[in-house]
Parts: sequence; C-alpha cells; structure tokens
Amino acid sequence: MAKTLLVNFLLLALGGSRLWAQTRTITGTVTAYEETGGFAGVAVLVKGTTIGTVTDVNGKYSLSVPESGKALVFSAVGMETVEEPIGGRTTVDVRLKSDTRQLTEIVITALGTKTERDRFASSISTLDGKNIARTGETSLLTGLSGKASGVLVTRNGGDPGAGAYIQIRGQNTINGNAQPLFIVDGMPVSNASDNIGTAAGNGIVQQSRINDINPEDIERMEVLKGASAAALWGTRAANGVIVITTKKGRNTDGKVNISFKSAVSFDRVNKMPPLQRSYGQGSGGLYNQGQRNSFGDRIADRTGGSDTFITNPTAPGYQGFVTFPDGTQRYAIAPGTAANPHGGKNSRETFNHTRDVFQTGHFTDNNLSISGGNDRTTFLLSYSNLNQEGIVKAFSNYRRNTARINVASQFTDWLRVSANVGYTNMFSSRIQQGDNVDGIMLSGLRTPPDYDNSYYTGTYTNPAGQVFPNAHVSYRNPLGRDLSTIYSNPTWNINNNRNTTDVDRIIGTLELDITPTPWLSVTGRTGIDNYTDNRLERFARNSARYLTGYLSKNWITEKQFNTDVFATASKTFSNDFGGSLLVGVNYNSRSRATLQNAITNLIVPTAPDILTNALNSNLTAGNYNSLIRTYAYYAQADVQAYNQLFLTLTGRNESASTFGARTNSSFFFPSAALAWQFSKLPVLEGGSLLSFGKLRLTWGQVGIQPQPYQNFTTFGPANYSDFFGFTSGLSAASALYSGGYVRSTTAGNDFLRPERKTEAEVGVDLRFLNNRFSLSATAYTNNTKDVILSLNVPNETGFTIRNSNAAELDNKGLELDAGADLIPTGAFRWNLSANFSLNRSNVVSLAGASAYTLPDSYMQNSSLIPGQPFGIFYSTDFQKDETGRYILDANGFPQGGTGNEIIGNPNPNWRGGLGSTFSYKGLSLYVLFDRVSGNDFFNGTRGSMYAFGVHGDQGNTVVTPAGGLKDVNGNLIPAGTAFQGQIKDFGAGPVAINQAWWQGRGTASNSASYKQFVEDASVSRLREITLSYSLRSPGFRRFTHLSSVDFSLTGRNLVLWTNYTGTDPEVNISGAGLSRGQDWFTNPNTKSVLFSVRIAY
Amino acid sequence: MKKLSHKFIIALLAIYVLGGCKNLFEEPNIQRNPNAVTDVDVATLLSGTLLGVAMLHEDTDVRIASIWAGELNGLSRAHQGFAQYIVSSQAFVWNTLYPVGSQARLIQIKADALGDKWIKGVGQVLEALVIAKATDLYGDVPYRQVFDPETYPTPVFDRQTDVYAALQTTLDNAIVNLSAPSGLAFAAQDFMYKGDVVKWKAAANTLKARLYLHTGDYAKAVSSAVLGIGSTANDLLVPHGTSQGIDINQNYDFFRVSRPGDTGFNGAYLPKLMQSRINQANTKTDETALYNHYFKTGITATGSLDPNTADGAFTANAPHPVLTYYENQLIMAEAQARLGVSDSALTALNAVRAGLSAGYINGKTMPVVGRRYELYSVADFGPGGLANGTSLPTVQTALLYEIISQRYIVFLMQYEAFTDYRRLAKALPVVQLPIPLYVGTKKPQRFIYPQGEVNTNPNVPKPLPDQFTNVPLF
Repeated sequence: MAKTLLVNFLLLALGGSRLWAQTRTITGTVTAYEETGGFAGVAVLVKGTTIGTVTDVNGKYSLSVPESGKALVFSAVGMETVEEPIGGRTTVDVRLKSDTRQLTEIVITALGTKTERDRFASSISTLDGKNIARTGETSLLTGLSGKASGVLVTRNGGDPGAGAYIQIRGQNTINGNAQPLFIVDGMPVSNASDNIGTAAGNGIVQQSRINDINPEDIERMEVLKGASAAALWGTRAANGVIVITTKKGRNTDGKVNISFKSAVSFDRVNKMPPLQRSYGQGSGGLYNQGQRNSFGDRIADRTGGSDTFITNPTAPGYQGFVTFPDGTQRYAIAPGTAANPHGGKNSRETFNHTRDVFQTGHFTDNNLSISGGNDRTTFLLSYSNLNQEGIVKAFSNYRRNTARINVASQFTDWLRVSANVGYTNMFSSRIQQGDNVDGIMLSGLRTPPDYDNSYYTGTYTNPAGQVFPNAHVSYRNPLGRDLSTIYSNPTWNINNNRNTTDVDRIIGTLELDITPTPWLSVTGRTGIDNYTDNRLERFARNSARYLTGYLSKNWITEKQFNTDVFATASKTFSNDFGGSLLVGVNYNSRSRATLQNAITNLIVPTAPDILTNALNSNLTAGNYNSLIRTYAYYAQADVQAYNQLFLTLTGRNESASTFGARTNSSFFFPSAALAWQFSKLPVLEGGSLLSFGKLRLTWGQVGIQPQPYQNFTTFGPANYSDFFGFTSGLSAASALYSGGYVRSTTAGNDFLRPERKTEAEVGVDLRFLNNRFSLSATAYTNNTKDVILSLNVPNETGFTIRNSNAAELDNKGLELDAGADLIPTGAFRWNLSANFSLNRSNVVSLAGASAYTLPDSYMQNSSLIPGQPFGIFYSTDFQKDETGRYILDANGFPQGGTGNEIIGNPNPNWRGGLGSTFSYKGLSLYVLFDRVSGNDFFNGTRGSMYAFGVHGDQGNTVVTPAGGLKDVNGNLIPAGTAFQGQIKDFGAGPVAINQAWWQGRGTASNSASYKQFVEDASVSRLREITLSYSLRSPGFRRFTHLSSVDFSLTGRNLVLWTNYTGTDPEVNISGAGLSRGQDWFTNPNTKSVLFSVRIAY
Repeated sequence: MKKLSHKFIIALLAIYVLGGCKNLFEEPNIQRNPNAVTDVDVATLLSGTLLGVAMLHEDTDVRIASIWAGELNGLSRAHQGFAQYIVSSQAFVWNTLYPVGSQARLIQIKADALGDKWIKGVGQVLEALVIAKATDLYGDVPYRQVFDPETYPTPVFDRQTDVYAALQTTLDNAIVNLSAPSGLAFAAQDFMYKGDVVKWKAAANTLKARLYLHTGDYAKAVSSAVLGIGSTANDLLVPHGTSQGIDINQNYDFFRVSRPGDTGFNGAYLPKLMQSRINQANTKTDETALYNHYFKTGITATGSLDPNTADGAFTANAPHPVLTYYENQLIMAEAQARLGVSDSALTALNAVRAGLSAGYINGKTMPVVGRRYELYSVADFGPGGLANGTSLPTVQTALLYEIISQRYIVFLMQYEAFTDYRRLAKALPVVQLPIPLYVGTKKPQRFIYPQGEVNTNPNVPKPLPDQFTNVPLF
C-alpha cells in the first residue's frame, strides 16, 4: 500500500506536463514474478520524458506516447526497474522482479517504524528473511552467520536445536546479559539460553530461545549495531538490538495466496579430532583389559584371531562374565607381561570411535502460509512443522511447531489496528557432552582403539554366581560389573540417559495507530512474550556420574509484558526544512520463575520419570523468582535540511527496579545522528561516477541494567561444592546436617547503577555507476563505564564477590560492506557482496583488581586484565627465563609453570564474508564464504586425550636412535628400542615424548602448561552454496494453475579450511557465555545438504 | 475539528495514565529478594558453618595433601599431575576456606549480641580450625585483618608464627567461653557434638595441642592434650549418609562416583608401610584388618589397589574425622617422647593401640581378622626390640619412629599427614619415615597462594613462592 501511494504521489507531482504532442496509445499489463495477478501502482514512464502513469489495481495501464518515445521504463519500490523498447507495439506487457538490494532502501528503526536508509545515519545491517531461511539452519541465530559485518555468531554445539552466541561489535559487559536485545514486531522478547540443574555443569548444549521463531515467518531483520540506533531501548541496548519483522499479508484484491514449502536436510559431523589406531588398551606397552589408557601393546604385533578369555572359574584372574543380548559372552582377558605384552589379547580389530554414536541426521521442515487482503484488511496465517533427528543416534532431536497469524485493518482513515501473534511448541532431546564422564565425546574419544563400544549392555555374572541384569559395559568396565561404570560407554549413554526440553511459547503484539490529522500519528502497542520450558534430565542407574540413578525436573517460566505509546508530529517548514518530533512512554515488566526437583538413588531403576521414585532423603527441591520492572519516557526529533542533511536526536529517561536503592532512581540516555547526502551538492549531483554519497556521524549512550536483587546480602541453605568439581558436594538439606544456613559470599551493593556505554561512529555510504557498485564503511569507538562486575575480592574478607560498577571497557572497530552488480542486466546476471569487520577490545580498568577470570571459563582462564583485550587467556606456560626461553630440566624438558601469564587471545583479528549470486533466468547459484581470522582456541580436548594416549599424533612408533633418549622422568630409553611416541627437541637435544610426558607435563589435565593447547583457530568455510530454480513460465502456470514452483538445493558448511586440530572451532563448551574459544569434548558441529521445494498458488 | 480534539484527548490521556509509573516498583518481589532471607538465628548459622568446616576436611586440598604425603597416589587426569607435584596458583582456591572462617566469626558476633558464651566458644573453635588449615598449608596467611571488608578490603599477610600465637589466644578464649555456667541450647543444630560444650572444650584443647606440637612447644602440647579429647566416643566426626550431592562422604564420592580410579594406592608409601607391619618381626602388631579396612583390590580396574569404598573406611556413609582421640593421644605420645618421657609416651601410644585393638577407627569398626595391637613395653623399643625394626640407636628414636608411623597410618585422608611429612624433617630429634618422592628430587612443601588472591590482594607475598618453598614453620 505504502509503495503504491508513494509512487502515486510522485507521479501526481509530475502530472502538470502530461498534455504534450500525443500521437499513439500504448496499453499493457504489469505482473510480478513472485505474485499472481496484476501489479498495481507501477510507475510507467516514457523514457527521457516526464510523461507517465501508474498501473491500476489489475496491473493495467494505458499511456499516450509521443512519436519520439522509443521505450518505456517500469519502476516500483522493491522491484528491479525494467526498460522495455516499444518498437511497433501497442501492447507492452512486462514482468517485474523483486530487487533484493532495493529491500534495503528502507530500514526499520528501534521502535519498529520505517525510515529511508539513505537518510539514516546509524549503521544498521538488514537481512532478508528469505536469505536466513535458505541457509539450511533450523535456527534463526545461526542463519545470520557470515551475513552481516560486525556480527559474530557461534553455535553452542552441533546438537539439534542448539543455541548460539551472538556478538555485535565486541563484548561490552561482564555480569549482565551479553546478548543483543531481540525485538519482534515491536515487542522485546526473551533469548534466554540458561543452564540450570545438572546441565549447569555444561552437560548439555543449551538452546537460545529466539530460535523458537520460525525463520520462514521472518520478512526481514535489522541489526542495529550502533548505540545511536539502539538508544531508545536504554538499558537493554548496550549489546545491540536486533529488530525482527514478521511477514504480513498484502493487498491481493481478495485473492488468497497459498504457499507451501517443504525441505529435507541431511546432516553429518563436519570435523572430528584425529584418533590413533595403532596401540591398544593398557599402559607401559602392555595390554590391560579395563585399563584407562591406550598406551598398551602394539596392535599390529598381535597374533590375530579371537581373544583368549579366562573362562575357568578356578583360574587366576577369573572375574565372571557378561552375556550380551546377542548371546555372546565376554570374560576377563589376561593382561600383558614383559614377556608377552599382549596377554590374552589376540584380535587386531580396531574401531573408529568418532563414529560410535554418530549418524547422518536429517530433518524435514514443512511450512504452509496463507495470506491475502484487500485495500483495507490484510492477513497472513502460517504454520510450520520441523522435525529433526540429530547426528547422534538416539535421544537427539528437535521438533518445532509454529503457528502465526498477522492481521491488520485500516478501519477508518484515521484508525488502523493490527495484531501479530505467534505460537511455538518445541520439544528437543540432547545428549550429555563436555567435561562430564557421561559426555559422549569424552567417553567415546577416550576409548582405546581396540575396544568395541557397540556392546554396551548385558547381564553380568560374578565369580560367586550372582547375576546382575542391565549391566553398563564400558571400556573401563568391560564385564559390566554393577555400579562400577567409571566412564560411560557412549552407546549405553545415548540409549539410557536423556535430557529433554519442552517449550510452549506465545509472542503477540496488538497495535493501534491513530492518525487524527495528516501531520500527527499516535501509536499504542502492547505485547506479551510468555513461555514455559519444562526440562527433564535423567541418568539411568549405572550411569557413570550417578551410579544409583538421577532424575531432575525443572520448570522455567518467563513472562514479559511491554507497552509503548508514542506520538509523532511532522511538519514541513519550507522547501528546505522539515522535521518531526516523537514522544513516547515505555513500560516493561519481566518475571521469571523456576522450580527444580531432583531425586537420586532411584528405587525402581526402570520406572517412568516420576519424582516419587526415591526415598524422601534423596529428594531435593528449589525455586527462584524474579521480577524486573522498567519504565521510561523517550523522545526523538528528526530534522532535515536542504534534502541533504538529516539530524536525529533521541533521549530516553529510564527507571528500573534493579537500580540500587541508594543510587539515582532514573538515568538518561541520549543520542544524536547526522547524515549528510553530500552527493546532492550541486558540484556532485548528476555525476556519472558517484551515484550516491552519504556521510554519517553518530553519538549515543545506552546501558545495561543490573541483575535483580544484587543490592542485598542474603543468607541461604549451606551448600558446599568442590571448586574443581571433583566431588558432588554437601548440602544442609540432609537431615544429618540440621538444615543449616550461611551468609552468602556475595556481598550486596545498594549503590548499583546501570552500566553506560557511549559510542561514536563515523561512516560513509557510497554508490557508483548508477548504483551498480556500493560501498559502506563505518568506524566506531565505544566505551562502557560502570561495568557491573562480580568483582572478586580477597576471600579473607569473608566474601568472594562484591557486585559493583567496577570496570571500564573499550571497543574500536571498522565495518565494511560492499556490493557489485558485475553483470547487472540481461538473462545472465552476477552479483557480488562482501563484508569485512574488525574489532579491538580493551579492558581499561577493573577497580584495582589486576585480573578477573570470567566465571564460565575453563583452565585457560579467559580473563579481563587492564590494558588487554576482553577475555584473554591468562593461565600457565612452562617456566621461562628473562629472554622468554623455556628453562629446561636436567633431562632436557621444560618444567611446569606455577603462576599465570597471558597465553592466548580468543578475539579474531578480523572476519569477513564473500557472497556471489549467479542467475540465469529462473536458475540461480548463491555461494557464501566466510573467514574468521587470528583467534586463539583452547583445545582442551587434545590436551585431555594426550593423557589417555588416544590422540591421532600418539600412534607413531619411534625407534630410539644411537645414544638413546631420555624421557621426562630421566629414564634412558636405549638405542634401538621401539616405543609409542615422538622425538622432540626443546632446545637441549632430542628427547623422548612418551607416556611419561603425556601423563605428566604434556597434558591439559594439569597446570604444567595450558599454553601448549592454545591453537590458532582461524577458519575459512564455504558456509553456504545454494542452487535454486524457479518454474513460473506462463505455460506452466496455465497448465498447473499454480503461480510458481521453486526448487533449491543448499549445502551448508560443506568445506572447512583450518589448521585447528580439533572439531570445527565454531563451537564453545560453555555455550553463549562470555568466555570464548574453549573446547573440552564439546559436541561437534555439522554440515548439511538441504533440498527444498516451494509451491505457490 | 471536534472529532480531532477527542482523539487528541484520548492520546494524551494514554500517555498520562502510563506516566503514573512511580508506584510500579511497590511490589513485594521488587522491594525484597523473594529467593533468600536476609538474616538467620545464630544456631542455624552454626549448623551451616559446621557443614562448611566439614567440607574443608574432605576437599581437594586434603587429597592433594594426602598425595604429597605419599599416602595416596594420583593416577589419572588432574590428580596424576598432583602426584608429579605439577600445580600452579590456579590449582588452589580460598573461596570456601576463608568464607567459612567468616561464618564462624559471624557466629561470634551474633552470639555477642545475645550475650551467649557457649555458641560463641564453638564459633571460636571453628574459626581456629579454619585458620589452622590455612596456615599449615600456606604458611604466612591473613588473620589479624580478616573478615572486616569495610576496614580491611585487602588484609595483610601475617607471619606464620604470629598466626599460631593468635590461634592459641582464640582457642583460649573459646575455652573460657565454653566454660561459662550456662548458655543457649544448640543441641538440635550441632550435628557433631549435639550441643555438648564439654566435648567442644576438649576438642579445643586437642586443637591447641596439635598447634603446640607444630611449633615445638612440647610441654604445652602435653598440658593441652591432657585436657583434650578423652575417648573415642568424643571424636569430632562429620556424619555422612547415602545421598549423592547431599550427604555422602566426599572421599567416597571422589574415589567411587566422581573420579573413580583417578587416585589409588598403587605406588603409594602407606600400603608399603602397613605391609611391613603384617607378618613381620613385630609380632605384637598385625595391620591386616586395618589394611583391608583402608584398601581393596580391583574396584576400579583389575588388580588396582583402591580405597575401600565397598565395606571399609570410605563407604558413602563413613564418618570423616576432624579431631580425634587417637590424634590427641598421638600428640601426647610424640610430645612426651620428644621431652624424653618415654613411659608417658608409651602409655599414650598404647591407648591408641588399645582402641585399634577393639577395632575402632574414625567412628567405624574394622573386622577382627588380622587385627592385633598388643600393648608395647619400653623394652620393645630397645636395640633389637620387636618394635625397633629399623635398628634405631635409642629407645626415644625407636619410640618416635613407631609413634610417627602410627600417626601416618591413622591420619589417612587428613591434611595433618602432610604437616607431619614436612614437620618431621625439622623436629628434633629428627626421625622420619622413608617416604619416597613420586618424581624428581624436590619435596613439596606448601600450597601456592591462589590466583584469586594474586589478582585481588596486593599484599600477597612476592615473588609468589612455589610448591617447593618451605613455609616458615616447617
């Protein structure tokens, strides 16, 4: 509608010159590729004149053309302009294509209003919903990857429905939510990604709640990167704002558009750490059944054939046997000895443990959309069903059903009412991961190559003849002795342990637009976002971590209510000056409640998931409630001058219930943005090279609220856990401990005030050669003061943490976006787009502390250190002398460090994306590459695998050269001796890297040097390749009565170029937390092939 | 125009109504934290603090200390590194240690407010237990300026000898308070001594005796031990149950549930020492029962010598010792022996043997089979005596050797074993067990100040002493 009106208006303005030497009448119909029926409101101009008209509601036009008129130009907002020669024709029909670049000519602002991009000063990236849906990602967040400059997306893991971390222009906060604020149709919505319950130990890849939204429902997304663009959201905007606009119905003159899209995808693990297959289970070169390590005998030297079991109950070493479901039995195998290192182990068979529990996952995604409308009312109904089976063979799935209705009605000329409501039901199962003996990667990758994980359960008969069903058979418990699991067998794990999440969510907005006079409009908008997340975690009896079983149920409820009322008045003072003023008020309320219950020592191990299946003494319960309220008044003034200068000033005065009782009750967040279209200067206007040029200057302040209840020092039930997680801890909840309470070790602070981020940016937008080439560049610098820090304090004060406005952070960066229509017209077209960004963060101060280790960090200690980038690794390396060289011991080996130093930086130097679209008629090929460069990654997985002898570079057999070699313990390995290991020179001559090294200073299991496992994780990837074909020829339409059928084939993440030795580094063990670049048996990432077909009626 | 003004009024009214936001924050869930209380009574705080003290006696610190004392061996992952003495400032934390101490101090403040002496006295004993652990493992530590963040946001580190002196004062005050004629009843909240102030007073004396032994004040050690824990029934023990994450013995949790096989006794000195007291010349002693109580073969892997989590010292519900009668008597025995009073030393040692002979150890009873602790006579320690297997020249040294052996055996999974390991290298006359190093040539002497302290407190000694640097006292 708006487009039509705009064009009408433009043409009316030109209407005065229409009567001019008319000699012939041309008529025709304008249609569009993606729509049925005629295209209304298309401007039709005779080329080189001001003679023109607009198409009517049926897309028809009639125009008198002078003799000199040779061609007609058809143009409409959002469509590519077509120039059609008239020749001798009297009927000229054309079909318009939508123009993706044109889409970005408007932007949606923080309040959900539209404005012209060319008049906008803050940097905003706009993403077309189609491009997100096309990626083959089931989730919205990961669909953003590589598509916008300055936006970094890292998935939490490869599990179906896994959440992701999104970072815009570096990290600005420590304590609060570090993720951007998401706004859907004007309503701020939750993107919670929290771990509670057992999963808080990083056992499960968590989801991001924003992914509850169906990507197919999205019309467009705007990433408001700069503070000035986001300033109207005050204390929730410091990490940027992402504005999502859902699809709406269009005026189809009563025709109903039906579109059905179906997609099927096949997913596999894209990269795994390498494993050795040469040495068997055992230690010191000797085979040993049940032993934890793979430093055993050389598998190739075994005799072959089946193993020699100790089956005689009177024989030494007899331990009973396990009977597997297929009837086969396993007994103890005699360990190796110096004389016979293989013992009773004869088989040379080895197994690829990177495949034990993984499969080709798949999903189907069906979307049905019905939309339409007339000139007063439009509607859109959509339904989608996503059904994904993950890459893990069992208990790994993601099922999402969404329904949406968006309706709008212009009741009278002054009243418009609209409602947008979306409902999501989501169910997902994910399997344990990470630093967790039930994690599938940990237990799988540590399994010796000669152990077969496919036998995972059975019945154990002990030497006394006692029979135990439901045994858990694992490499450390090969006969399945009861309650002796140690590390789980990943196959047992995926068939017995489960973790599910079940979400019901409704997000809806109601909006009332009143236009009492042409210069004034009032918008009232109210929305809700409510969800419940019902989680279950179950460890079956005989699991590694909970021998007697564990069941927990967690219920999470979040409710958000938001209301905005704002009025906008516009006025044009003269031809050269105009402006508008907006004033509004915002009220927001967020409440959250969790309820947790857990039992251990399951009475009936096979019972359903019922909390009564344990003694009362084995039941724990807990709950948490929070309520945050915010209200704010805001205003925005827009001034334009000479159609060149566009100034926007905003201010928001905000009060929040989380501000400390002894600080100010409200805070003010201002912004200013100036855009100058310098290409409109007379000297530049009309030039053939520069089609458009704009200079942008902005400045703004945004903030971050404290978390609720940080102003109180509280008392709570005494719970003591082991800092390193080596034990499960003690709790006063036991009847033995009389229910004691203690004072919290976190000191409250009555003076907490919001963090304040100030950002300035300067940018330029340029387009060349009739808009064929475009370049947009933005440089920004921001500074966040009063960053709320859970400041560690000396523990001998009695507290460990004091929440305070303690830190100051800086970010500086550069963002470039470029586009080129290399072949702009004709049947064959080629378009390139590229983005590049870099960010440099700096911790300015920490209120006197010399370092602060982020709470979700692993042993590489992602830390804040004044003068250093955010989250730098501050941990150990081998002892060094003043010149930085390792101090070697008498045997020629470096020695374990005892203090911390900087050992790596997880922040990339730069990142960039390069996209290319080739199209030939209905066929198009899109390719997207991206690269993240210069970021360090802590490969704890490798560091841990070394201690077990299973890593790929540990399978070599080395023959000691003349003179022999010393190992780290000073033992001399005589010349000519073969051993499992490597020869290395640390600077004092060659030494032997063998089991002693890998179980001593050469592993990440201790603090000798974590630096040795910090790797460069620069990675380039073919993120997306899509081949699509659109069938919409008139013949096809007549024949099928369909308006179009689109086919597409997408490959996602198909190729990876990286020197990183672990899994695809686009994962993070601690999920969407602040510590980046850490791996400890994180579930791997995936690659996919996706086929989809869309049928439009 | 009329219609217009109506719309105007409606719009302005909407803004006005929403403008009345002031009382939006007058909600119970905003005015206070709905998830926690802001105060508790002193007895409830006492039981919470007791649990913290319990945890401090079963935590990773204690297992590292046991490994470094040669009692336990680290076999996999982090603990394999600990057994190679690979640690750094990030292997240690004070985030439970000192905060538990501050709860003990808060008990005293709350008791003072009520004018109560008894609970105050218990709070002082708990404070001393916590700070004693800190100084034993780290040497110079903060004490004078602790638990007062407003006045001392970054407390100074006191010299270890000053800390010891201050601890004796704290315990003296505790004893005075516990001797008050009446006080607040706290039997229901005291899950260790059921509110029995006589037992707490004895425990305070045993702790004083331990600290005097550390500082070489043997006469004072004796006089305190005389007033110390007088029977096994009065042992200060942490009770345990069978609920994981709630009340199971933390050593059981570690050995059997959370890190099975990561530590064990293969390669450790303790089983060797105990084996040497089975079927040997010392016919008065047979450690078989205790050996089987401590160790069991093949729990985590074929042939591995594991902690007995099945039916011995480390079951889920096994009590864990904090201060015991055996320790009290062994302090007495060693102090008397060093003072040259062999008969008194022997009496004290025999008291422990009598207890063991009855099968008692840390709240559990070991089987009869292979359990023999006949009372020693002085002659047993003379040259060629049955208890002088290492042919030490004097009764005193032979007796000391037996006493420190008995201490080493009794202190399994108590950090006092690591204190002995260091202390006995200096205490005169020097008598030590031949405990081998797991690797290298340097003996571990201390824990490294936590990285959290380095990051936040400028008073941390510089340069940061490494794990091989002696603490002042030992």
